[in-house]
Amino acid sequence: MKNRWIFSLMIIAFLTLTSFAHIPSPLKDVKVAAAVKLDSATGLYEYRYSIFNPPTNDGKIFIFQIDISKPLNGKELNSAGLVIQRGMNIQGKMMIRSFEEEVARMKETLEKLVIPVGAIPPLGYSFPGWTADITVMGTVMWGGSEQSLILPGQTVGGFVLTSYGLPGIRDAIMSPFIDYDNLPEEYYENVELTKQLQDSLEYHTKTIGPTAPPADFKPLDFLNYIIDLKHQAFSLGWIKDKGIEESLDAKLESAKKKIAEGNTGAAKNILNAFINEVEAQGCETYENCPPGKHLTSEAYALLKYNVRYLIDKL
Amino acid sequence: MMAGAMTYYNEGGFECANISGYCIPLLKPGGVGWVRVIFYTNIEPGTYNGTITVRYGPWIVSDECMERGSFTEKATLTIFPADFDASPSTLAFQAGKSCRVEHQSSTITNLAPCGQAFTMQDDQPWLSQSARWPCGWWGCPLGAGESGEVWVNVSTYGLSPGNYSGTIYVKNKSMTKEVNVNLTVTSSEEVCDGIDNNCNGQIDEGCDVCEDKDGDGHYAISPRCPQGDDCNDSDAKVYPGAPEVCDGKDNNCNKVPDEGCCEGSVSVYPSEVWPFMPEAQRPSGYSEDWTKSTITISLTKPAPPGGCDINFEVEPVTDSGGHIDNGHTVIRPKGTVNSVTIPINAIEGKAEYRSSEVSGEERIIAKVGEKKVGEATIKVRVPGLYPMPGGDYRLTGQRTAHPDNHYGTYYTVVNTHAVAEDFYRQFNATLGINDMSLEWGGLFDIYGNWSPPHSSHRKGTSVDIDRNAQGPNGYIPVDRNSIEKICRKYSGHLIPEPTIHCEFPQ
Repeated sequence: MKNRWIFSLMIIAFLTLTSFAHIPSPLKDVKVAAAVKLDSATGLYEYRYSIFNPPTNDGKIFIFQIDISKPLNGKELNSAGLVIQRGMNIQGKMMIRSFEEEVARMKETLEKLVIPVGAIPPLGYSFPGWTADITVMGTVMWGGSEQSLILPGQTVGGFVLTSYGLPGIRDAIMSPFIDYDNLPEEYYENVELTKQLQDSLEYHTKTIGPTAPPADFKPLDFLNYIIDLKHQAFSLGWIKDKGIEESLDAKLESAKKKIAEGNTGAAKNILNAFINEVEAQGCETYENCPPGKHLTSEAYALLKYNVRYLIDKL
Repeated sequence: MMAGAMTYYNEGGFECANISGYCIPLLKPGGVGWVRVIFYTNIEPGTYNGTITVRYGPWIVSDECMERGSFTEKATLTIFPADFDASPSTLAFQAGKSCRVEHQSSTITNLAPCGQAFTMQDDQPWLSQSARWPCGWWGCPLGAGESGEVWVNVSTYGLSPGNYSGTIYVKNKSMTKEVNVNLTVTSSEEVCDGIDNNCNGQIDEGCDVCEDKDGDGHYAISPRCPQGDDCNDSDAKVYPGAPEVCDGKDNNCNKVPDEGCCEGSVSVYPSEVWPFMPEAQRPSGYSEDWTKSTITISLTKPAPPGGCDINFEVEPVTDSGGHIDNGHTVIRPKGTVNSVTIPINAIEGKAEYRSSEVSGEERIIAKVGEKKVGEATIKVRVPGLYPMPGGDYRLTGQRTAHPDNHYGTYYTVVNTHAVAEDFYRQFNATLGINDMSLEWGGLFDIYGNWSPPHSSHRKGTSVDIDRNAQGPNGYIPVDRNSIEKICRKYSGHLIPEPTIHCEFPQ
């Protein structure tokens, strides 16, 4: 009898607690791992992402976005064959829309020009699962469902982009699940307060994603851009060793001199040596990266493919 | 024998044969007697003929030598018309109080071909009459065609000023004619009216000559200048017909000073403003200046002394802004305008209009007291709202008070359309697009009481989505996460509400 009474109290307490509005803490320290693979036959890059939600968070990651806005004066990129796998429909079939079709539908409200991409959501979840979309804000957005949220302590991969765009440093945003039906009363129909809450809970970080090289290509300018990428990669922790960073830096500066002198042959040699060093010191993928490597898969892709592009253009 | 008109008497020459107490006229042989024939003339004028028959015989006195017989004599009577004329038949007297007025006269003319006598009477104590020809106790005779004057006298002693009337009756033996007498008794003070008011035998003595002191062509109003009409003969800007200027004076002498001085027109700029937005609902860049308009009152004449105190009434136009008034339970809120005083000699004044939270058209009526100066119309609306087009969705939530509840900014409408289509592709079900904004935006009082619960839905960026979508096999619950993703894809975000509320950027 006493046990039954205690059990009843526990049930009441549980129901009371669950009916309280639960606002998660702002997301922190979410890790986005990215790796790039080039199909040299087609020139198409495949970007793969994995997200780790630290166990210290209490928010479940619901939405993941990467900026794909087109840089000013960026080159027009090929969009042939790029499709958005938008997720499953209620009949269990994948909804597919070409990039061109997707952008055409949004042309009236698209806030930014975007570079052409294809997108694939993580697969293997029951309907509605994950979806992938291009947004009018100029991002690719993957969105989960009740069954596919990234819980604290969980890692979810399978977020894929395809593009003819070179790797660049891009903004990434993670948004937690919010139970709007049980928010405190002050949020009721309060547009500004609710938006502030949403913004405050999001996590912003950097990752790599496709971007467009300049339409008006100038080798020296592009090399300066690579030098800047290398500096940012170091700042972001993607180049973990200062000595390596300086070594890479020296090669780029040397190549820069050669280009300035018009000695493209010598420059190419130096840049090939640069790529060799990146391959030697870096990991192509984030899944299997031995401890001794000093470049993450982000730095690897960022430096290797941009330098390769420069070499090809010299 | 003329029936009723003639009789005769045994007048003389006859002896009287007394038979049984009666006197029978008796003539002895050789005797002469006569018979007097008397005519009674109270009959209509004309000629009347009659016969007198005398019968004689011996039946009264036995006398064999006398035979019986009779003889007749004809008699003719002519009655002439007794007509006459009294002219004039109306006399008018005007006299000051306590004056005796000598006389006026009316002439009596005998129109009959024979003489007749006249008598006269009057019917008022202040009235008297007398014939001015010789009269006897039987009347005043006038021969055929003769005339005589009747003097008519009035006396105003004891009479108050006012109008009186009386009659003189002129009679002959068969008819009466009336001479009407009208008397006007005026004041006993001498005024300049052409009458001897004070009965001193002088008319209008002491009257001044009309003067135009201010030279405006009009005489001063004065008892001694009856034709004067200048209500202020010391101001050349004041006279009948003068233009009314706003100087505190009755320039045109119509007893209304400064009429028309606070009349004019009203204009509003801008003529379209935003409805007032509560702080939590304001779009970026919103300023309360958006809800204000300047009202200009332009007078047709400079303001008079004391200025023009202008107050305003604001009247919402029925059924404007997307609200059907008879679907509402209380009176519609409206904008406000501060009162303003246009100072003396100024010709323009400005006031400030401030909108309420409710959109719609409003009439702004400027008044001085209860008198309307002018009016203008202002539109309170969120600009640039469009209705939802058709698509793979249903429009829901219409009510009597708000039959059109699906308006949004262009951005919102296009994106809502896209949200619904994306949902349809994924779930094969049509979303119910519920409340958005009203045609002109502003407060969306879903219950028709000019109050929230809809505190948003004012500026065309809010979209409510029903929690059930209609699929081929009936309604299915809308997956909130899926809607949030689609909403976000199109730059929107959710906010808590009983329905699923997607808010798009302005």
